Amino acid sequence: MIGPRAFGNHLGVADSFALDQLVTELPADVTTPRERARALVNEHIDFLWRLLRRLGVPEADVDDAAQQVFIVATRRLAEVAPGSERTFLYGTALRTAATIRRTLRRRQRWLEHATLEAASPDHTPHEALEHRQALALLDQMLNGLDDELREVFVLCEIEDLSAPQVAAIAKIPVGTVASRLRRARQAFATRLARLKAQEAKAR
Amino acid sequence: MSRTLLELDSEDLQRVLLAHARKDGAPSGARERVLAGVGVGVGAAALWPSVASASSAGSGSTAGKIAAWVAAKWLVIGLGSGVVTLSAAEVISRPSAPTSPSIVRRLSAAANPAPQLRAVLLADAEGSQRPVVTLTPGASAVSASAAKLNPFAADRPSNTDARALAESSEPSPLPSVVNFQVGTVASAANDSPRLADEVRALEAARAALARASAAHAFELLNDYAQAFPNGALRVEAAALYLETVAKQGNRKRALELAEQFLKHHPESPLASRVRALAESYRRRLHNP
Repeated sequence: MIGPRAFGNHLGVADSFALDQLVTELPADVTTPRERARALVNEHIDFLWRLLRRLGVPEADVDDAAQQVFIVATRRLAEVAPGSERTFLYGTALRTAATIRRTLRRRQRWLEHATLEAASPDHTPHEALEHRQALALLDQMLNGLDDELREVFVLCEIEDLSAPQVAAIAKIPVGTVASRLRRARQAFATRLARLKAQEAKAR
Repeated sequence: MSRTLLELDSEDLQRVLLAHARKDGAPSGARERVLAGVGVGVGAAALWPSVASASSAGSGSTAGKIAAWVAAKWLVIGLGSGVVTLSAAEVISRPSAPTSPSIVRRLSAAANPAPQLRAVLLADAEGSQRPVVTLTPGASAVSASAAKLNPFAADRPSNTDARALAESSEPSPLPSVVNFQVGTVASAANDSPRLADEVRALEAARAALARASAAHAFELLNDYAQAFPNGALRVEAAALYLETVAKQGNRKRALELAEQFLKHHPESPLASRVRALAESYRRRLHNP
């Protein structure tokens, strides 16, 4: 026998308390799975998009990758503690992006994508153009990192997560996060310096 | 490449690049596309599972189980439609029942021109076990896997047979270089029992209520509340609970609960039913 029983006393208030909670405990603002799914997408789409892109998902595939992350999250929403949705999305996004990178490499489209995106003409206003160029340059740098370094670098440097948070998401020890981050920073700086040197030489 | 950017010193350049990255977000239209892809975009509600299609459903296939997830989610409590609830529950519990073509059609979804990556993504995003079924790349494979994992997949129109794909165990000849191996049979099987348990628990409570055994229904609902504190069917359980309270003769309390339900869940698919119940309780209280 678990918890209070309502039968036998025609619903005395105290005895029916546990059952009353069925009605009263659910949040008022998000009432159905459909609404919860919508809220999840609306709240997290921007960060998820950004994360997937920086983790190496080509622009053309981000819609679908984001969709899959949200589908998985929606299915498992009941298992996710309130307030932990973003952490759950991080973990799912890491796996999704890793799959895409693997698949693209197998198809040998990886570098083609990166090159095409970096070189694609852009006729947007100046600021937007600069933004796009900065992101293309950043992605070029990130593409040169090992996957495990890239993930830690993106989560720490762009998403501003702490080492313990990244450790929990990536399911690795905190010490490993720290060492990967150190190596990632070094590799990133080296690649950037090399690129600048090449550019200076070309001028 | 922008000369201005590369003219910055390395440290500043890195700072600028990261600042741009932090400002990045979903481009215009992406939100709507993703909402639609997840099956919760504008207009999706009209396509949600209908009583007619669910009532004829029945399948032991993986696709069938996911169809049942959707159907059961909204229909299992019954609240006045016992035939429907029984059928929806059976979809999960009977392993060899035939599959309703309408559910299969709705399941296979995937009208959108998703990239062929999706089959793989679904399995890996889930963190599920490694491949169980090999699918041919293309729209059919995509639709089957999407249907298996998307609880809202039935929202979308479809034109392929998900069951055949989900049950396929023979590798298909592949026209491209990619093998799409999907490990979702195992993951779906892992998820189904819990939902099936919820369905069974509430179906039992509903059946008890139908037999006018409100006390037993209370006991079963209490068990449900304890066993599934974050259950997927809690809203349905709440509606069933308040109806049980009324059945036991405590209409005043049932009315209070109905009003609370409507306050908390005004847009629930069950809200209109609860509203009608509340109105009838109110009438009887005033005109006993």
